[in-house]
Amino acid sequence: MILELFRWLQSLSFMTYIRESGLEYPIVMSTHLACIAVFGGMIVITDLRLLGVVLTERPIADVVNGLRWWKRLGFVIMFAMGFTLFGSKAAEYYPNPYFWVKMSCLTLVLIHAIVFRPLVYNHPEQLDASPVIPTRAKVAGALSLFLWTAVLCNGRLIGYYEPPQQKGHVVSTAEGK
Amino acid sequence: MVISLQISGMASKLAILIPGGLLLLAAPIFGHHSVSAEFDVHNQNTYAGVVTKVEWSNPHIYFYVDVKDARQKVTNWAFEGAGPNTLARLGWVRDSLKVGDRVTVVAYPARDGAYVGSAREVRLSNGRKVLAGMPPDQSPK
Repeated sequence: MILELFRWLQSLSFMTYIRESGLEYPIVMSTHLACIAVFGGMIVITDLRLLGVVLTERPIADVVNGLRWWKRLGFVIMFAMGFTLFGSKAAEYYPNPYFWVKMSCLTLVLIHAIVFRPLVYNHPEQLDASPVIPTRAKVAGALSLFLWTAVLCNGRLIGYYEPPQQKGHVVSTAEGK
Repeated sequence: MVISLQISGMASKLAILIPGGLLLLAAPIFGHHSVSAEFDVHNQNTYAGVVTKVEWSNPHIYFYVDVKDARQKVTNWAFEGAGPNTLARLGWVRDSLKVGDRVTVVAYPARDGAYVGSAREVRLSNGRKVLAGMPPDQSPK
């Protein structure tokens, strides 16, 4: 049933257009990758600040509040490009285990946000008020780093998966002489 | 560990100009995923036959050819080419290959014996020869 949904998605005229395009697919792909550098970098800086590794002379609130809307903008762009890439060849990604691991990690990222926004990200000034960085902030930062690294690595590995069935095959053999 | 960084005005300009300048010198990346890891690049072969299917898609096109060998055995080979953008610059159009066309494909076969090849050059049914855009032949010389 999911495969049928993926086949339908891939058959939409917009998705077909992207799949067969000259410029558009490379632009979508490049934008998706550029987001890793720009907005992924911001996520890394935030997480490392929560762990007390970088920008330690700056209050956590400065880093978290300052990057918040840039990270959200980046996520929207990243997700839009990613969904377009996925939708253009959805049926082909269906058997790909790296694709599914990446989606699972993204789901865990969503859960991470639901859990840690009220605890950490929405009240960063509480973290600065404490003499040492509270453990919940370090856990949030470490988990976020781990999950996003997993998303990135599995995303890269998607391109290297070959399905077990052969693409080519024997059509007919010669009759006996 | 405390990491502290104070950047002067001049240094911050250089921090933007130097990477930016290096980007302008960027050369095409030939790494992407290694052709030689998947295909036998020392064993180039020629395959002649009839096109049975064309998948005109990014990031690589695939086209399938029924190839008959000397003993009349017919095998359906899958050939990988570059993406539509690269192919357009090598003279391909969307329907350069159509089902039923007689073509000759010069390709590196898969290392694991599968009937898959990395196409180097295709002689189309109208007699024209086009590069398939896979490394190392990504642009006309």
